[in-house]
Amino acid sequence: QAACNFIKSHVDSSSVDSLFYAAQSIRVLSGCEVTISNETRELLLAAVSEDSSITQIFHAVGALSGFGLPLASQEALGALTARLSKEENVLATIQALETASYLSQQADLSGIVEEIEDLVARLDDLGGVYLQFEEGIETTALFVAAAYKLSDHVGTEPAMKEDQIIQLMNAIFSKKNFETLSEAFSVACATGALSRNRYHLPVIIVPDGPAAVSHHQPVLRLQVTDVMSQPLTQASVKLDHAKSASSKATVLQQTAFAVSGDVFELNFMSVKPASGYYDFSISVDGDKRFIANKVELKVKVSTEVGITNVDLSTVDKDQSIAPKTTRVAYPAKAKGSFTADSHQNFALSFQLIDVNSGAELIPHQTFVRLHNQKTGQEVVFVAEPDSKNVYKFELDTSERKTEFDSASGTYTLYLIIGDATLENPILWNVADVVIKFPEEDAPSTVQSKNLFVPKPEIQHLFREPEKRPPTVVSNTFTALILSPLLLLLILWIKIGANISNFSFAPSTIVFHMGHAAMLGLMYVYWTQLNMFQTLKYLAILGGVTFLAGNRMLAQKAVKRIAAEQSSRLAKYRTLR
Amino acid sequence: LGPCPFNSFLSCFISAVGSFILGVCLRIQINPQNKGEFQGISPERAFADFLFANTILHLVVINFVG
Repeated sequence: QAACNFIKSHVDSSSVDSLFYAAQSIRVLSGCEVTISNETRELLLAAVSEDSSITQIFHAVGALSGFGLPLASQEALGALTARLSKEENVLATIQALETASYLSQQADLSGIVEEIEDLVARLDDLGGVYLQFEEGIETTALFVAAAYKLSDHVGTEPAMKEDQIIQLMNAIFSKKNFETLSEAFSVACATGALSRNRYHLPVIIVPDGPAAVSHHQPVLRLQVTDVMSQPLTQASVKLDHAKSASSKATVLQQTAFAVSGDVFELNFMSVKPASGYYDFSISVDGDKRFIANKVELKVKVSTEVGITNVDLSTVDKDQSIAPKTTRVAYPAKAKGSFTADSHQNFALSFQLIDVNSGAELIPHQTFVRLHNQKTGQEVVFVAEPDSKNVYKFELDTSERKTEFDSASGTYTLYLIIGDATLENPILWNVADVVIKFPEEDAPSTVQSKNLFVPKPEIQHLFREPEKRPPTVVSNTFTALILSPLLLLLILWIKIGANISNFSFAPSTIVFHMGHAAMLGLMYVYWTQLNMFQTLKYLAILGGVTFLAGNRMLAQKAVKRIAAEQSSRLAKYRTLR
Repeated sequence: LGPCPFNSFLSCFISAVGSFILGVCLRIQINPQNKGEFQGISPERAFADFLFANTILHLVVINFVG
């Protein structure tokens, strides 16, 4: 009632749009009446013409229809067709579809109905999964609602194939959160249209809870609903066939599901399937309008595992003493402890059976875990089945000492059995095993293999000096090499080395000292230092020498140029 | 006699050859008759280059001589 009052007070009689919304709302609200003046009626009738946009025509026709006022359908149809040829966009066409659904059935609406087919052709196929307009989900949803409304009104099936409808549904229902109210409204309209039209009724088949059966829960339950989540209890749900996923053998076929309240049930365990995964092919019939009514479902059958024939034995390596076997029953622990050392191996064998059917099972995880009580180490092995599906595990201390880090001691033995199809995974402390490794391999301390501590730093190793030849040979050759130096000195003295250009400026002295120091450093490098230290000293000395030398040479250059200039001047003067 | 004395021999050889080459370069560069070929390299610059190259040569040689 409050809504009715709101509408009555807010309707704007001069706006066709406002009148349209008011009319549509009033049609749905019961007991709400609005009086329409003649002027308003004239306004609405005038809006139905070739000169108004399709939206205007749509709203006017909708308002007239909503208020229950007479409407010239042929005129409206003419205006609509004329406008459609001018406005080619998708939204306008959709609105034309909606408008046509308000017009009288006597009028020839086939032209408008053909537009449905044109619009379907304009949908974009995204990856074969989604079918939607490039304008978005809202437009797609509005199209679906309008198409079904018009089809119901006119009485012809909409020109959409089953695959297309399924893809349209995928697109429309792909979002769970909507950004705008109008988008949510369009999806709601589409949902209503898809659940309540005369031609196509999409069916949604979902398992109730996880698709798994077991002895405790032998019944597979399915929810079969329409898009509005209304259960279709009148339908007949049938299992076409159920095949084992691994062996592809058909386990069950052509069985009907029974209705129980809102869900459909089937007791699958009655055929005593082996544990594993099964592919179910389910079809829903009962109404010609059903589409998307055949689905494939993967169902898991789980069971419980039992361990039998568990034998623990110590086998002597020399085969001289017969193995001592102890049988243990789950979940008890073996009494006494077993020893494995250099003379005897420890062996374990067992069988795994399905408790309910007695068949042998090969689960995915069959591990034997040995846990050292003192150091906290644990080593895990895999028990493998042989050809007769009997699991065997043997511990040979000499083969396996690397895994154990040769740490002798008492280990607790655990058996771990697990699988996706098992209801009762097992962790069983079977026995205690004393393992003795040969003494010479035992480390003094057991370090846990911590991989993430810094490793010891690697120091750079210079090349070690090698063996040298006898001293006499070396000395002879040293003398030979030094002799040219002597020769040089003698010749210098004889000829008279030229050191006349030597000026005693500070930079010169520094340069020569630096240079001598560098040569001295070379000698020290040869005898004592390594490359890194030498380079350090060389950098310092070299820097000093370079600066001093630069200075000195520059001064020399200046002097030389001055001397050249003066000599040139003198030459010039003499020539004159 | 293994690689050790051979290293020394090789380094001395390289030192001799390298020094010879650097000396010849210096003499060519300083000679006034060749001034046309060495525009922009004054005799002082030539001498400085000679000293620098010598330093590197000696560093390498001393490293290699063992």
